[in-house]
Amino acid sequence: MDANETKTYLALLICAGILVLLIIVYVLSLMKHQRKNVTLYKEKVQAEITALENERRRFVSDLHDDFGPVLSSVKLHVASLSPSSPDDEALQKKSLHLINDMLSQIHQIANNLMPNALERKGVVIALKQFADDINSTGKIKITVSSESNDLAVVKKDEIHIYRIIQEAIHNTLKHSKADRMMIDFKNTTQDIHFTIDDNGVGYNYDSSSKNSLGLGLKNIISRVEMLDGEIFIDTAVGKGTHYSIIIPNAQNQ
Amino acid sequence: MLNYYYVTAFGYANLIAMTIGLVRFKKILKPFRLFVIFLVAGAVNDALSTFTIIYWHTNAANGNIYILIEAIILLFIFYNWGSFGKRILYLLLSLFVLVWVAENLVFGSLLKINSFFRLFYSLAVVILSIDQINVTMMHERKNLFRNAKFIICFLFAFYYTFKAVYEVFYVVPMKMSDRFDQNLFLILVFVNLFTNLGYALATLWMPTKQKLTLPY
Repeated sequence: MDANETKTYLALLICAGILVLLIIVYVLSLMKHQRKNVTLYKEKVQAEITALENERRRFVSDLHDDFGPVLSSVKLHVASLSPSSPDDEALQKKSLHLINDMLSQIHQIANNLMPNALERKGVVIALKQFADDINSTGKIKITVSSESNDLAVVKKDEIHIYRIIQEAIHNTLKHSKADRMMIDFKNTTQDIHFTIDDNGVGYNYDSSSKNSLGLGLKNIISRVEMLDGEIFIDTAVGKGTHYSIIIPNAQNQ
Repeated sequence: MLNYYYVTAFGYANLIAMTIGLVRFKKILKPFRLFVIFLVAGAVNDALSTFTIIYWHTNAANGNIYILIEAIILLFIFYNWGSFGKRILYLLLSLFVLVWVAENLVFGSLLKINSFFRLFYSLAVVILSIDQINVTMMHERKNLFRNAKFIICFLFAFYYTFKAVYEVFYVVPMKMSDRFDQNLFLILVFVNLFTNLGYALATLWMPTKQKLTLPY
């Protein structure tokens, strides 16, 4: 190379060096902002979901502590009436029947919003009870299996696992035409791994995701991300749907 | 100055990524399989180039044909990743073929190394890669360097930027000594080596299961 070419080559090397440096700075800046965005996003989702759960808790408590006792008192009053004619007696029986229906509906609504078993017996038992309720309709057979009834998760996170499965079951009932569904929990040293399978019609994930994911699936993903977990899907038309969810356990959080 | 054998050996570094890719081929998700085919095509062309250089002292013909194949594969990779729809795919495909035919068959010769198409598709790949880097950033919640798509797009942006800069020296006709020409090529050899080693890492991280995420 002559002197001129050497200078050009040197200039080129410097340009290449600057380019490499710029690319490194760009990538590092991207990564920094990605971490920041992830944190902000998680905080936002967490705030939304926590607000939603708190609202549900407050609503259940209102139903349970205010509305329920008032209705029970009405029931007592109606029962204590002494009907003077057969028509009045029939009316009293009908009223008592309606009040009983209303009380059991309140109990059901409260249980759907915030299952009692979840607080007292943990997520696995609560899900088994939820599955039994659905199985009793005869539309589908849901099996919940776990090596242990105690999952190594922080107590406050159990509600999110419950909601994830609840949403998945609703999705299956609504869209999949499945007659069997299996939910399986596994504890590992680092994570809790749970799978949700159904033998329904499945769907083409690529074409579905090009439009927009359904609200139910979005809720599932939001809760999984809130728990710092990952969710994978394996589905195809005619092959059922298989969700695999991994969330860090209580020791690993 | 590196000798021919070192340069050839560095060029074959893509065999590592290709081997990993082929071993994992059936397990990995479909949108990533085309990347393995891209690696195989590159390795086949490298082997063909070694052969043609030994016997005919030039790899111009197979090189010119290969870059069209490479550009088309790359377009399909980005299409599979959702960078654009079918209409844009057909538009870009037509544009690529048109520019290639014009340069290699109408205005130039297939037996000479032509640079304009190389520069043209390199810039297109860089733009598409930057777009995919941003998409990946919106969806990835964990370490970006464990995301195969991010690594691949980063390496595409890195390699094809250098390739575009390199090709400028040949698109603009200028007098260069052989030594200058070799030194220029040497930069691309090292960039290529780094890229091929990065591809090996990317093929290791290629996902086997479809992960679900929501954008921010």
